[in-house]
Amino acid sequence: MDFFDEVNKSKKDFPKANSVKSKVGSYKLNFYQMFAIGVFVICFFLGIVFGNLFSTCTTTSYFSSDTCLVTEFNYSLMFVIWFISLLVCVFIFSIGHIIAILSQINEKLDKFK
Amino acid sequence: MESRKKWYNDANTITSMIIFIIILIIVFSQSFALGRNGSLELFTSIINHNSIYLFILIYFILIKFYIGKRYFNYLSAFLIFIYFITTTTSFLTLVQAFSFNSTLDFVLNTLLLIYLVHTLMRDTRIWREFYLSKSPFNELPNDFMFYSIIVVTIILLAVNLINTVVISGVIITILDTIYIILLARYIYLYRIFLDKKKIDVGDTMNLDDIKKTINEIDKSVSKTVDDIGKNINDYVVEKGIDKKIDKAVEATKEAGKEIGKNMKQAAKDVKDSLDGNKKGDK
Repeated sequence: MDFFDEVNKSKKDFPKANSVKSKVGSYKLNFYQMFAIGVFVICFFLGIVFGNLFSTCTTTSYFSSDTCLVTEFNYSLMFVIWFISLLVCVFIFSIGHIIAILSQINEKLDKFK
Repeated sequence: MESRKKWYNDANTITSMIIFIIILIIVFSQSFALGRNGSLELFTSIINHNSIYLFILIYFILIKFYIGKRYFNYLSAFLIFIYFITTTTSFLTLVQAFSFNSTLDFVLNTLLLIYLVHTLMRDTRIWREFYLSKSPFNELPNDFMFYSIIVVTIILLAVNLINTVVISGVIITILDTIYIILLARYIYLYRIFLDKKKIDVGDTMNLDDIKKTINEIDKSVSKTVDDIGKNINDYVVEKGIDKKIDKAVEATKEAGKEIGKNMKQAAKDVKDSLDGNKKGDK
């Protein structure tokens, strides 16, 4: 069987845009979670900007030379910034999630008082 | 019996070759980088020069397995994202270090990104829900996109070969050119497959159009049947036909009862007359 025939038989389509929208819309975010998402978006673009600012050498004047002839985008710096910001943002987001759960528990306990 | 496909028309062979070429690129570029200082520099070199190749390698290895085939659309979206990053960074490189080389690199990445979006996203829900078929780039034929990528790649190869000063650069540039040509061929074959899936009807319709038309006809027939039913109900109520029918049914029942009564009476009369005749005979 053709490669793409196999792909076509087993591939799964994307979910409907409306169902994704309603699912995302139904999830209420608190301040910490919104802050974490905002920081990640900023750091995402910051990674691209820094990768461009601190460019890396792609062609040297001769093999193992320090004299750079052509520079190019610094992927390693961009990925490092993205990775660190992802870790930090996941940490802040989880704190926000814990606070949300604790406040829910508190509300339920208040009802019993 | 189906004739054996040539290697450049077989997607399975093309994907295997892409995997092989990417592995070669990574191995060669890292072995050339070994001459430089320290492991950190080596690691930075891997990320800088081969991170995109590593991601693409993951994509092509995954689609060889069932899990990759199952989530082919998601992997395609991932590949498009990778090429989106590559195009953005090549644009920034163009701004930072303007040269014929960086310009061609940016043009090539842009062409690849357009080609990827307009081929891999076909036949998906995104294509239908976001009306990507109306995109002006969709009018560009498959052959045009493929051969324009080939032409730009070959020009870029010539420029890079003139530009490069070390043997490692020559090897990497040639391998990179082979990889891009194979990737373009892979996309080209996928679009051919999608076009073949559609049945052309007089060059004006395809299977999707037929499906759409059938759905529309189905909807309009259902609506017409509903309307007819509603109109008949309204007419029956307006003209009092239902009441007339009820009256007719009642009258028929009454007539039936009357006929039944008369029949019984007649039967009784006949029986009586027969009994009278018998007595007379005696």
